[in-house]
Amino acid sequence: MSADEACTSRTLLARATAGDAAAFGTLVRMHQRPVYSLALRMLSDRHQAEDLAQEVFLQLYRSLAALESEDHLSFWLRRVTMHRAIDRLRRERRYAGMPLADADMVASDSADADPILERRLRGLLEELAPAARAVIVLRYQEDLDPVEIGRTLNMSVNTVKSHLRRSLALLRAALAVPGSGAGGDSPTPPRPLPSGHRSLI
Amino acid sequence: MSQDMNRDDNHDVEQRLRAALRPVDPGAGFVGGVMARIAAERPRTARLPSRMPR
Repeated sequence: MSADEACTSRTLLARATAGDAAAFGTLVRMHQRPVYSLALRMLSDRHQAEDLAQEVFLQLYRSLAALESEDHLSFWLRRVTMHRAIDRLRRERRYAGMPLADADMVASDSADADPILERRLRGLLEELAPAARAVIVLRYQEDLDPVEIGRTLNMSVNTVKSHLRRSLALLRAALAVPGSGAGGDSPTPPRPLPSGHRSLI
Repeated sequence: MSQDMNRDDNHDVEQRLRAALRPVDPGAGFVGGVMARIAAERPRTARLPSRMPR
């Protein structure tokens, strides 16, 4: 974030805390993308993700006075989003919504993108236990390091690293279907995660 | 050697995860939805904007 953006954000936070609804709306607009995306990757359903992300901003509105800075705001939003998503997944056990692999119609904007493989990966993510999924999403969507992930999820750094190592190994193995490896465009479905590992990591 | 291969494979999976997890925007009515939920909640709370004259 540039110095100007940080200054704007700080001003907006102060104005929103003072009761300025328009400033709060602008803050929501600035942060909607990461919050919604985290919810979407965790819940794998657009409507559920929008609902959860709106709940997060509602909770933010009630908590504005407790926020200290723009950095704290970003941290707070990630933390509340992930904890709410994990709670929801654990409560509902196996979520029965439309799989993200089908629901996510976002067009690839990169020339070397492989939409089929990306869909497979997102499908495989849905098989990870909520905490393991949260670690992967924070690492590869938000680009957080293990220390930041640990702070966000209330996890030790060693636990974060263990989740990363095991999940990567499982994803790598599941993608290694003959004839459909990295870059392949075969319609072969991905090999599911080994049953002994599902919901364990 | 197999460690090098694992590292390469991990790097490949990591790159693909980053691509698969690109952030996306919610629907166009998202901010309006948040503001509507706040407005619906206001009458139930005692919280007043601090700049409102007392």
